[in-house]
Amino acid sequence: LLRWLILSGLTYGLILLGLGLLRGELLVLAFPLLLYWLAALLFRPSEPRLRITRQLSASRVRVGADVTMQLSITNEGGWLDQVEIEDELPPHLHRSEGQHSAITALAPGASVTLTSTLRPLHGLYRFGPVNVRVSEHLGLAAQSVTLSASAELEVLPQVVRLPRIPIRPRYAGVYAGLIPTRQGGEGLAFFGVREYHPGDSLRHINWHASARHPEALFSSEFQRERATEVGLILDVRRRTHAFAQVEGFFEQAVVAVASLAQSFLTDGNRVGLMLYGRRLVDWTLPGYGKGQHERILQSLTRAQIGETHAFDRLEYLPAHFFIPGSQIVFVSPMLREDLETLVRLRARGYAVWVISPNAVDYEAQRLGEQPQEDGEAVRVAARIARLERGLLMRQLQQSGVPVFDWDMAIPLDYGLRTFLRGAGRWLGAPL
Amino acid sequence: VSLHLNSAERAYLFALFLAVMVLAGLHALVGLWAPALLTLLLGTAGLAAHWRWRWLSSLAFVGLAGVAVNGLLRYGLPPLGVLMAVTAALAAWDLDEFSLQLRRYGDDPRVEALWHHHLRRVLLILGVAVAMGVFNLTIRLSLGFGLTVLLGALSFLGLAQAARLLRQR
Repeated sequence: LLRWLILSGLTYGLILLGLGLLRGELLVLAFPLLLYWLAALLFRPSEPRLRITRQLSASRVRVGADVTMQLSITNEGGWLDQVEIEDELPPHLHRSEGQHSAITALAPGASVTLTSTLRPLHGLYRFGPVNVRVSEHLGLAAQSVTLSASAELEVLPQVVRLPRIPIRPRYAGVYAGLIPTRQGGEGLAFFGVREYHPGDSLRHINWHASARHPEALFSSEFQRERATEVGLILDVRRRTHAFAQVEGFFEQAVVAVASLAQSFLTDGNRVGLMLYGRRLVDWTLPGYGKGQHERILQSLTRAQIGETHAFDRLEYLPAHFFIPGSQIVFVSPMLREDLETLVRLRARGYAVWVISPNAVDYEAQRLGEQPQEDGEAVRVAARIARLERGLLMRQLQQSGVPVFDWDMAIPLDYGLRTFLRGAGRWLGAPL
Repeated sequence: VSLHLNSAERAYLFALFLAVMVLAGLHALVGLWAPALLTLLLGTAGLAAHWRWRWLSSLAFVGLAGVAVNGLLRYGLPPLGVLMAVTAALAAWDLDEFSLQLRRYGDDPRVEALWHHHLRRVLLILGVAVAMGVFNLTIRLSLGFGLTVLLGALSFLGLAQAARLLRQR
């Protein structure tokens, strides 16, 4: 509009001045401006009739997979001198290669296709409309249209195969599983001896005990193994992720929860998931099997860092969602104030396990890669933060809450294996 | 600031250089150093607009046109030279905008075809305008007051109508 105003103002001015002063040279000076303007008017685009299609090579993929997107615009109207196409991607989605904008001329019936490759992080991405600006070559007579080209892309988090995690909470469910209980019954590990009951298998008769007491027969009992309930809590509070370049960090935490869910479900446990800190209650009810893993993955797909005043502190965690005595796995970078809540949960009989991605090392490493004027200050700050974090981890351990302090430079499965061989050995100890 | 220039940017620089040199040269030839210096300043403003302060682009164009009109009216500079300078300034103003538009689309092969189309159209328009100007400068018509007013009113109405149509689109 500004260019149009300037051009028309100058043209008018020169013509009126030339006529007013009776100076033909001024009228001559107006010729180029006038012709430029008339050309814009003459070649102005007709009402654009454009058809748009957006195609994704897949609508549901796992993180790490490439998705090819094709955006085609076909001109169903008259000749268009200049068409500018600008496709905005949903937030947090980036192209790895390809085009998201183009400028071209479109003959009647012709089409233009923008192809790009996406490699998104986990999430549910909704593609919106595309902005198209149509004009003649001189760009004076332009029209903007918005074309609807909606599509959805669901990117599920990656799942890593983890070693079996030997948890031993107090609560045991009704179905058979791999958690040893303090009850005799069917199982593998020897539990005790009792008097023979009619119906007992002959294979379970304890012949040594029966020989010592000839007046009766005795049967061996085995430790009953049951499935339990595991509540996974992923901390999505903005406060705990208040550092730069948090996307990759959070992605790793999501991968950890997805992998833990698979591990616990494979062992026959009942697993639920809570995303803590973004919405009031983001709770996937506990369930068994592959179907439940699918539900958990879908829930994790939507997981984003956020904030709500209701759940900005861990003390507001609705513990009644978890069966008393069940296993709780809390995945969080951790704040100092979280300690008290976790200890209280432990005191109420829950078996609490904390997996804490090490945000201090992650951030220090990231800052260390950049040339810093205040490098010394960063080193000192990192040292203090490490000491504080180390103290917090120790206090948790001393309160009976096992902590896996996850250095994110190490792959989750390898790190967890090392943890279970060392400090995590007593994760499977009875409460 | 990127110093890698596309074809449209090279053409823009050439047009701006031409406009400034012709206008400044015309003033300098008759010893008018202040308007010549002002023209150079406006040219520099046009350059600065391309890489940083966009609002300077139109200011430079209007300024160059103003200096040209002033030179024509007050100092009687040769009209053909002034016409060339204004035409080059208009070309520079157009190519400045267009080259920046193309820059956003990088190495898209369609950009080259579009640039050729654009250049052809601008050259055609400005070529016709200069030819008409030269032709008009060689003829002399005597108009009465009534005819002048009528032509003025007609051109005003014509332009107003054209502007209305353009804005409707």
